[in-house]
Amino acid sequence: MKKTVSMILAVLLMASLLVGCGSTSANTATTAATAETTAAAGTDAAAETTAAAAEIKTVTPGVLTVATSPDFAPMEFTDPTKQGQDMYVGFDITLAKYIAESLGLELQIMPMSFDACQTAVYAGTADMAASGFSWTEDRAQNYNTSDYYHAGDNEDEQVLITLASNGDKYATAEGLKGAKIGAQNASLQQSLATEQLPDSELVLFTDLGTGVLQLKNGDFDCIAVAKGNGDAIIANNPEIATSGFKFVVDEKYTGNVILLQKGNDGLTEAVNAALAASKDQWDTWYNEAKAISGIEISYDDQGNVAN
Amino acid sequence: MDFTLFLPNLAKIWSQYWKLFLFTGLKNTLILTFISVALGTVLGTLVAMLKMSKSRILRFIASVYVEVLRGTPILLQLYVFYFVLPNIFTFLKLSQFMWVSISLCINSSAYVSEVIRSGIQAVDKGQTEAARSLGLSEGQTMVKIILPQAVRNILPALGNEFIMMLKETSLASTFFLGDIMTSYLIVKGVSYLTLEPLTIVAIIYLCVTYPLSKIVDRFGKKMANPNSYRNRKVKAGGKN
Repeated sequence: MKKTVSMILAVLLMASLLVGCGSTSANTATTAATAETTAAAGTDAAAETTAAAAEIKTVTPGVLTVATSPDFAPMEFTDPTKQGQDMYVGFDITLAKYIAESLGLELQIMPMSFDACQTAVYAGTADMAASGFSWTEDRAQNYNTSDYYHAGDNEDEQVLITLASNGDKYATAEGLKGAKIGAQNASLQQSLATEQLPDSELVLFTDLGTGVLQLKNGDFDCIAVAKGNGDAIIANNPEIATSGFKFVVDEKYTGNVILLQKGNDGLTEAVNAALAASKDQWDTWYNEAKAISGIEISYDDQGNVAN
Repeated sequence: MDFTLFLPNLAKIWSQYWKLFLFTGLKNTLILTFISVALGTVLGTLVAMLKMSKSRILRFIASVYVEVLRGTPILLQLYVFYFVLPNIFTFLKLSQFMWVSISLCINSSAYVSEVIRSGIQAVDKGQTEAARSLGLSEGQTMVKIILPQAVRNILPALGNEFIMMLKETSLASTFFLGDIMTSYLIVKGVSYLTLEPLTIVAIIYLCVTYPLSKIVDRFGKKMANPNSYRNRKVKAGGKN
């Protein structure tokens, strides 16, 4: 008897260890998004297009789970004054809300680190990842990517920020010769800096907050950021300013994409339809997101914190 | 680096977000730690029993379990368990919070099992021999003679495990579970200030871990040898 019990325990333990080898296929419950529900939810032209995607597969039936890394104002961030799902705000969250609504699904935001977002989609824990992803060749190979969406000037303008005390020193490619440029690992800014500032030294960091700290610390001369992020950084760090240098941004880089599980074409089509239908509202959403981000702390003329 | 703004920023962030740090962050960290150490102790006891069992197969299985969990980084385990377990146990509708707790608890169980095993095996062999020769059965020997003495070794070590876990739960911030490190990520996300919220987080952690480790220390010394000269003096109210 004793032996049987311990045997069962042992098997359980083994099982919990071996799950790593288990299948990663998602629990593919199918939600038939009927024309009625979609038409009822989508109040605009989207309705017809969305209805065409008759079968939509989600991890949990009736729920659209979206992985996002809410530490990237104004694209997605957390409002500390709110609780639960309402905490998550920003452009991508508004977009996710719109998509869920137009598909007649309930939205569930799953917050996690940027790296984990991709894993969540890959492993089938979340239906999609909307976290300011740029399109890259590698991502397209492993995931279904949606059409591009644009978030105001966040991606259109890519700039360098530097310590305000540097003045115009780094305003031109000439002045940037030999300068240390920081960029987030695997980001659009990394490729831009590699292409357009070949004479500068490129140094990588893992997250923007750390990058800003390193800039203040003197590890870099400048860091390459999207305009929107740069504005949020400058709003809270008065010793930092734009350097005056702007990257030339190719059209293919200006958009973000949503990542979905490879092969889930039904949902991808539905998301694309929702993207196309919401085009006109992107600027409004972006400005709303920007208005609530990065302005919690303001400074007076002397650089002191103003209340 | 310019530090003139450090203190004003620190004050500003504290006055703005202290509720987030204490009520949400510290609370969730403590809950996570309690769950993972409590469940980890139960699971760890079972693993320790397996590891000391007579069957070679059971001992082998328990050894693999412990070695794999102790030999891989906890962050890696968190990723694997978090993404894979829900796909295996699809019938269990657990929240994100519970899945991460379970991952941490599985990790904790490996360490706890070693604490318990070494605690039991540290009891002098002569105790078993004496009990057995007095006619106590194997089970009686374990329950009446060995375990009460082993507890003296185990409890202080469990206290240390709790303190360890308290810090390890910071990894839960990978999934924004609302622990103290998540509070830091949230504040960093809206303010793009790094050092200031980190300083606050460090102070909160220290305020919890320092008193805890002092208590565990004292407790451990008392437990180590209840009949030592020093402890007898203390009990008798004498002065050293």
